[in-house]
Amino acid sequence: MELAIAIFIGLWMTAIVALAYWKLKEDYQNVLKENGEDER
Amino acid sequence: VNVYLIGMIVAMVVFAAIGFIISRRIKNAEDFYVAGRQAPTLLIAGSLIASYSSTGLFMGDAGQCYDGALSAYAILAGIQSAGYIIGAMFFGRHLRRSKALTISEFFGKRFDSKAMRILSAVTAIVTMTVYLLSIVQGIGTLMSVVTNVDYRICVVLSIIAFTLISVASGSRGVLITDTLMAAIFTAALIMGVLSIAQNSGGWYGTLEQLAANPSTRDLLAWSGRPGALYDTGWENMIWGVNFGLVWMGVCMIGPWQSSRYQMAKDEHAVVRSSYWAAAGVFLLQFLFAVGAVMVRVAMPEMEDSSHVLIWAAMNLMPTALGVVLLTGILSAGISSATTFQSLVGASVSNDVFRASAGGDVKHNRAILIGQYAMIIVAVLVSALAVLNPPAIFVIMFLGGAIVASSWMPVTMGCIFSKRLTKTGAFWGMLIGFLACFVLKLVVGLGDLTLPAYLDPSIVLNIVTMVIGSSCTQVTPAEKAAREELFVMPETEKNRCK
Repeated sequence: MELAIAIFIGLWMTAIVALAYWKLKEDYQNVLKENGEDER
Repeated sequence: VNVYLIGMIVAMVVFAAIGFIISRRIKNAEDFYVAGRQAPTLLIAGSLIASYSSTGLFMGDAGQCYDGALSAYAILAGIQSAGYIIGAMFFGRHLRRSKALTISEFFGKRFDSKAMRILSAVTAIVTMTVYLLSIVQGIGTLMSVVTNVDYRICVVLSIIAFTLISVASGSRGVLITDTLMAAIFTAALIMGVLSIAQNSGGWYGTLEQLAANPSTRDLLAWSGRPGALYDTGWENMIWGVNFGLVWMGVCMIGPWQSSRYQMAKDEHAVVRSSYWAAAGVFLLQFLFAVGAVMVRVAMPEMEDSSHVLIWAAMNLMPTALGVVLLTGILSAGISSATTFQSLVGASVSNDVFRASAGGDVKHNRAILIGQYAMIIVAVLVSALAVLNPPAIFVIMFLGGAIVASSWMPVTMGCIFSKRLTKTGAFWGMLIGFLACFVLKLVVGLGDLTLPAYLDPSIVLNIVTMVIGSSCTQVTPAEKAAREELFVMPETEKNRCK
C-alpha cells in the first residue's frame, strides 16, 4: 500500500507536467501558424 | 541571554530595514500593488513558496505528522503541489494578461460587474484576515515558547515588524523579503532535518528504528496512527485526497498565491516559477513531515505535538543551527503575514474603495487608503490574537477551505466556460463562501464531526453557478472580456522566433 501511494503521487505529478507541456506546445504551434511558419 | 530571542529580533529588524530601503523606490500604484510587473522567476517562486509556508505548516502540520498522519500528508503534498503548475498554465497566465492590479479587479473585468468585484474582494479580505490571524497566533506561540516572554507581547512585537514591511514597501518589498525568507527557512529546514536524523541514528537508521519498534511502526505505515486524524487508514487516505484537492485549489487560484503571477515580468516567468514552487513546496512538506516523525526516537511523547520542530531545534541541534531553524520558522510566518496584509490593503483600496467611488480616486490616494487598511487589519488581528487561545490548525484549514469552495469553481469557470454569467458567478461565489463559513464555524465551535469526504459547500457553489447561468444570458461585454484573456501578448510571441 505504501508503494501504491508513492506510485500514485508519481503518476499524478507526471500527468500534470504532461498536461502543462501539451498546453504550452499547443500555444507555441498556434503562434507559429499565425506567423505563417511551419512547425520545425 | 536567550540566543533564540536575539536571532529572531535581528531577523525582524533586518527584514523591516530591507522593507524601508525598498519603499524609497515606490513611484506609483503599479509599483506598490504589482511590483511594477517586472519581477523575475526567482522572486515569483520565492514569494509563492514563502506565502504558502507559514507557522501552520511548521507547527500544526508538523504536529499532525508527529501524531501519526504522515501518509495522509504525503498524499496531500503530492496532489496539492501540482496545483502550481495547473494554476500557472490555466489561470496565472490569463490573470496576468488582464493587466488588473488585484484578482478582484480581474473578476470585475471578466464579468463586467462591479458587484462581482466587490464580492470577491470582501471574500478575499475575510479569508485572508482569518488566515492572518492563525499565522499571528502561530508566530506568537512560537516566540513565547522559545523565549518565555508573554504570548501577548510576542504577538504585538511581530505584528509591528511585519506591518512595517507591508505598509512601507508594498508588494515589491514583500516579494524581496519573501524570497529572502524562503531561502532562509528552506536552508534551515534541510540542515535541521538532517541534524535531527543524525542525532537520532542516521537517516536510514532512524527510519529502521521507528519501523522495527512495534509502538512506532504505525507512524510510517500507509494507514497512519489511529486517532491522529481519523480512526481507520482509508478515512485518512480520503482526508489526504480531499485536503490535497482543497490545497491544490489554493496553489492554483488562492489570492495569496496566484496574485504573485500578476507581478511577473512575462509569461515565461509565470510558468517557470510555478515549477520551482511545486518542487519547493513538496520538498518543504517532505522535510518537515519526515523530520517531525524522526523526533519520536528522541522524544516519544510530546505534550503539545505542534511544538515538535521547536523542541527539536532547541534540544536536538547545535545551538547555531537551532537559532537558524527557529528564525526560519518565524520567517515563514512573517513572510505569509506580509503577503496577506498587503493583499488585504490592495483589496480594500483598489476593489472596495476605488470600485465603489467609480474609479475617480487618484492612485496615490488609493495607496494611502490601502496603507490605512493594513494598519486597521493589524490592530484588529492583534486584538483577536490576544483574546483568543491558539488554535492554529482549525483556523488555517478554514482559509484554504473557503478558497476552494468559494473561489475555485468560479475561477475555473471564468476561464473555461463560455456559458458562465455574472449572475451565476456572483451567487455561486457567495453561496460557496457562506456555506463553507457557516459549516466550518459549526464544526469548529460545536461537537459536530464531518466525515472525511468532500465538503458540501463546493458542490453548493457549482449547483448555484449552473442554475444562475442557465437563467441568464452571457452579455457581449462578458464574451469579449473572456476572449481577451486568450489573446497572447505580442511580447510573448516575439520570443518564439
